[in-house]
Amino acid sequence: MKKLRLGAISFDHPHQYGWVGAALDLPMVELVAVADTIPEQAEEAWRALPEEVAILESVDDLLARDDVDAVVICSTNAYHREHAEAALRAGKHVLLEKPLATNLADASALLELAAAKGLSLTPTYPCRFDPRAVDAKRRIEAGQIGRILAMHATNHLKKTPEGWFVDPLLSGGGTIMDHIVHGIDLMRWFGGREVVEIYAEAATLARPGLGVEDVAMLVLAFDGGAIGSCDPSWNRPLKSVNWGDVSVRILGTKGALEFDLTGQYFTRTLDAGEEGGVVQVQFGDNMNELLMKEFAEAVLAGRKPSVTDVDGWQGVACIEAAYKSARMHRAEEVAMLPEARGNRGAR
Amino acid sequence: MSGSGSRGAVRRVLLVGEAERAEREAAYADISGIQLTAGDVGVVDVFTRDPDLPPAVAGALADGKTVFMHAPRAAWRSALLSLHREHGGRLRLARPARFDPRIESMLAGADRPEMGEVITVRAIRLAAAGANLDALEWWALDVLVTLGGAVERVFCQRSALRGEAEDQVLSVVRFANGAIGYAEASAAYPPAGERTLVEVVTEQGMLEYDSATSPNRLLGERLQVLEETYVESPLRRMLGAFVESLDDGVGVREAAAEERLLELAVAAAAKTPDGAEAVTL
Repeated sequence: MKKLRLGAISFDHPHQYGWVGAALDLPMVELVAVADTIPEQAEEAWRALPEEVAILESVDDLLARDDVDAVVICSTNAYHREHAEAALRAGKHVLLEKPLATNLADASALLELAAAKGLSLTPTYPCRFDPRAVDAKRRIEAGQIGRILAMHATNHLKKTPEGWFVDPLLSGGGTIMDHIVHGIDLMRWFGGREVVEIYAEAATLARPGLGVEDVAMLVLAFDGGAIGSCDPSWNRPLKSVNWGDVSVRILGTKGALEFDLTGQYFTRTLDAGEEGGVVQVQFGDNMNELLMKEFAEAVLAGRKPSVTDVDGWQGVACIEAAYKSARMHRAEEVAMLPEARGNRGAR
Repeated sequence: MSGSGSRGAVRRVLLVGEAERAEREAAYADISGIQLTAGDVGVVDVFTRDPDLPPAVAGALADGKTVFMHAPRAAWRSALLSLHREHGGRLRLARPARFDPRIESMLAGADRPEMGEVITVRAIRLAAAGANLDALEWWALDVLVTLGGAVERVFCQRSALRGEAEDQVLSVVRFANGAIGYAEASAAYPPAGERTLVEVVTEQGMLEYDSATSPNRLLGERLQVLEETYVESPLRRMLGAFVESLDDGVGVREAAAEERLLELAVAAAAKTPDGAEAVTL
C-alpha cells in the first residue's frame, strides 16, 4: 500500500497529539518525523513515538526532508502563516490546525501560495467527519427535513484555555478566534450556503482579567435567507462532567435535526479513587482519524481533500466579521471568496 | 384551590381575547374576591391578537380601569410602552417566566452567593407552526430580564421562515452588568420539536434546564415528552400575585420591572435591519 509520508510540526496546540495518534493508527499514513522548537513541551508525545519516527527541534530540518509528503501543523495561531508558507514552499501538502490564520490577509496569502504550488491546504475541521454529522448531512441531502430555514450551533468549552491561547498577540483572540469555526463550518456544509452577515457580542466574563474574550454570542444570516446562531463560549464550569460540546440544531421545512458530537456516552459513577465521581465516557469513532484518513487518501490520489482552503478562508472571514461586529455593535457583512460563491449548493 | 387573592371588596374582572381563555377563567375562579363579568369592571385582563387592541386599552386606562396585558404583539409594544409610562401601575404586564417554577427555582439557584455573578443567560422556546410567537418571545425575554436583570443593548433578527408571518426571533442582548444574553423563540418547529431550554452560567457555576430531557414521557404512536405539571399553575400564581399587588398597593413597584421587560420587547420588535447597529436602551 502506498502511504502518505507525514511530518508533524509543533505541539503548541494539544490537538497535535490527536493528529499524531491518528497518523500512527492509519495504515495509509507513515509518520516520518516530528518537529517542535520547544522540545520540553513535546517530550510526553515523543516518548510514545515508535523508534523509526525522527524527532527534530527544527521545522526547517523537517521541511528539508525528501521523505515527507505532507505536514500537519499545530503551531501557535500567530505562526500558522509562517509555518504553512514554509511547508508549501518546500512542496509539502498542509493540514493546518484551525483557524487557518488570524486574519484574512494571511489566509489569502496562504491560499495564493497553495494554488501556485498546486498543493492541498486543508484546515482541521474534523467535525464534518463525525458519523453523526455525516448522517445529518445525508438526511438533509435526502430531503428528510426539507429546505433549511435556520441553523444553530454551540461549541462550548470549560474555563481551561491557558498559555498562548489567552495571549492575544499569539492567539489573535479568544473564544471567537478559537471556537466559532467548527459550528459555522458545519452549518455552511449542511446548508451549502455561506454566512453573509454576523452580529456578535463578546466579553471577558468567565475569568475576569483574561487577555482575550471568553464569552460570545453570534447571530448569523446565511445566503438565501436562513438565519442562525453560534455560541462558542469558554464558560463551562471546571467541574462539568464533559469538556464542552459541539451541538447543532437545524430547522427545515419538513422537520428538524439535532445532535451533539459529545452526546454519545454512558455515565460512570464511581465512589472511590482519583477518578471518582460522575464521568461521561464517550464511545464511537474518532473523527480526527477519519479526517486524517480522507486527507491522506485524497493527497495520495492526487485530488483535493473535501475540506478545502476556501472553507478555512471563510472561517477566518467569519472571525473577522464577528470581531468587527463586537467592536462596533452592529451587524457586519462577511467577506466571501468567488470560489465560495461558486460552491453554493454544491456541498 | 382557593387561597391568596383579594382581601378587600370583590373585584370585577373582564376577560378580553380568546387566548388561553379557559385557563384564565379557571385561574381567576380560584382567586377569592374575583368576579368575572362582562359588566362594569375595575380590571380588564387582555390576551388577544386583535389588531385594534391599543386604542381599546387606552380607553380602558382613561376610564380608570387597571389593565393586565398578557404577551402583547410585537406591533403594539411601542404604543403600550407610551401607555405604560402615562398610566404607571394601572397598565400591568404579564411576567410568565417570573412565575414559572422552573425559572423561579433557577433564579434562586443563581442567587446563591457561591455561584458568583451571572455571565450568560440563554432562553430558547421552540414550538410548532401556529403557536403564538409573541407569547413564546415574551416568555424568553422575560427569562432574560428575570435572570439577567436590566438590558443595555439588543440586536434582534426576526424572520418569516415558513410563510409571510414572522415565526422566528433571535435576540442577543448585553445586560447592564456586562453579561451576555440570548433569547430565541420559534413557531416554526415540527410538533415533536416543542422544547424549552434555559441556561444560566455564572462565574462559578451553571444551571441548565432542557425540557427534552424530562423523564415524564408518554409512549404511544410516538414518544411524547410530557410537560411539567403543578398543583398551582404558573398562570394562577401570576394572576394571584397580580391581584394581591392591587390590594397591597405594590403595583407601581412591579410595574417598574414590567417596564424594563416592555422596553426590551420594544427594542426586539424593531428588528434590527441588515447591517444596522444594535438598539441601545
